[in-house]
Amino acid sequence: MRTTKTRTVPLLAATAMLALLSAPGAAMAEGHGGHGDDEGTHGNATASATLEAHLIELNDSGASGTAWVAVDGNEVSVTLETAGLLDGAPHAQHIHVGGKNQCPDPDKQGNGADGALQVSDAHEDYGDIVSSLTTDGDTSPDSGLAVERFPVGSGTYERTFEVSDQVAADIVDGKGVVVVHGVDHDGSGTYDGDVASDLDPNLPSEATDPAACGELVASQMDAMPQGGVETGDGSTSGLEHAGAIALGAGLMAAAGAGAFALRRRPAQK
Amino acid sequence: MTAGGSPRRSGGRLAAAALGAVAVVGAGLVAVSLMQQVGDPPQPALGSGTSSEAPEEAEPVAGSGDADPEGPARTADPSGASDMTPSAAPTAPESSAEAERPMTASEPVTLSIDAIDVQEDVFPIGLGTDGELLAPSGDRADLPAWYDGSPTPGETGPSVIEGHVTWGGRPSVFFDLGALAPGDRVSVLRADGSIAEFEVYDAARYPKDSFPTLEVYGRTEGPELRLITCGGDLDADGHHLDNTVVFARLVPS
Repeated sequence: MRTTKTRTVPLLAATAMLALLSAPGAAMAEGHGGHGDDEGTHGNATASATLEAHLIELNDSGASGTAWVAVDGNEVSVTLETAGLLDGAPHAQHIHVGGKNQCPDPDKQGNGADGALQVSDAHEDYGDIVSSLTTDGDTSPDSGLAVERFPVGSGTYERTFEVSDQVAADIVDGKGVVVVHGVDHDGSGTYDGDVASDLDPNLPSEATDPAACGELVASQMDAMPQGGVETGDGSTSGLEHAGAIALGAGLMAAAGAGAFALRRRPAQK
Repeated sequence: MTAGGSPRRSGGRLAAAALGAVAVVGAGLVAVSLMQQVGDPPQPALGSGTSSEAPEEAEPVAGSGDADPEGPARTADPSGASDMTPSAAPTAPESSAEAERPMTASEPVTLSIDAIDVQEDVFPIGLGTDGELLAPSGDRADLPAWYDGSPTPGETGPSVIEGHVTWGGRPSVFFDLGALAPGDRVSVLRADGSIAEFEVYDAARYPKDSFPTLEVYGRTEGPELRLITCGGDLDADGHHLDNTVVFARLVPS
């Protein structure tokens, strides 16, 4: 017994430590009493938080979107819904941190065609890329222009990936800005034009100019429910008790058939 | 056997009587079933997954007729974005003349909606393994449930209470939810004995496959309430294709 006890004590301690470390995560999953108490975990690598962003158009792109992000330790889960982006074209999308941690004024004049806002024009607002929201593979800033691994057109993007302690802490602290790129300024239906991208001279500026931007702010939810709810097990609209009606109708039909047979029997005689 | 009748004839009568009884039982079943038919649950017009503004900025409007055809993502508003400074604490009361003063946290106990004859105990419910909001089941299937990851009713933010429209093929607690209209009152008795009184300002119906997450669950300036149930047509498995959502905000009680 004694040996068992001495073994279980450190085991218990370790379990308790684990529980402590994962407490914010557990609070997110269970949600009990977790309201508004995550300030205490800000700046901590094991912090967890749910954040949300409304993306508004830049460069008169007509694009918009919503994003919500769950941070759990170093794990970041991003859902990004976009609309109004150029169809059939890839749209680079990132989380930025830095500058003033904000989106640029949509009316801000940039150095692109006809004063279009280019990526570097907004650098003072939202800083550098910290995560590239690619569809697969690397999500580091290195993939910032990995055009072949970004979503095409508008839609829903979902991905969970790992970030550094610093990036996790910055996002939890509300410093993250979600930016989606790619604007068809001239309405040609594709990325073209004479102005080159300020990021890659081999790309037209349209391919990298920011199209929509949203600041990640703390959600009022411990965890954002995914999708709608299943609060109906079938409608009462339409036919109730269809089985009873069928049975009743069947009985009536059987009785009718029986009566018909009875009446025919004397005739057969 | 009865007098004056041949065995065969009386057998025939018996058979006829039995058949008659069967017919009566059958007719009775049909009649009773037909008398218990229930109409469609009331529901708002189908939105396309969003209204033209994020709910926290929306003026009290009737219905969701102003739904935006561009899809669920278009909810952004420049003023809304700039309101939300990144440093804002999750439940910090933001200064506004319109928003009712938030209450301290206290879990909901009873939900009362006079307009649709609802007065039921509320229990807390969480998320499933896929992050979906679980639905009431078992003994508590017909009770409304408060999503325990949402603010408690009266706290700043969207407090979420869901209930079934039907359960076991019969109308459930939120069968008439879609009939609520702007101005209707919803009151929630809380564990601390206080009552959070809400006023409905919008109602909408969204396809589940394009549920506008942030419009329903996104930040609000003041204390608000979301009442959610199912609606719309059924899919092949008998599940509703839409969700009905009623939006309400805290008012002086």
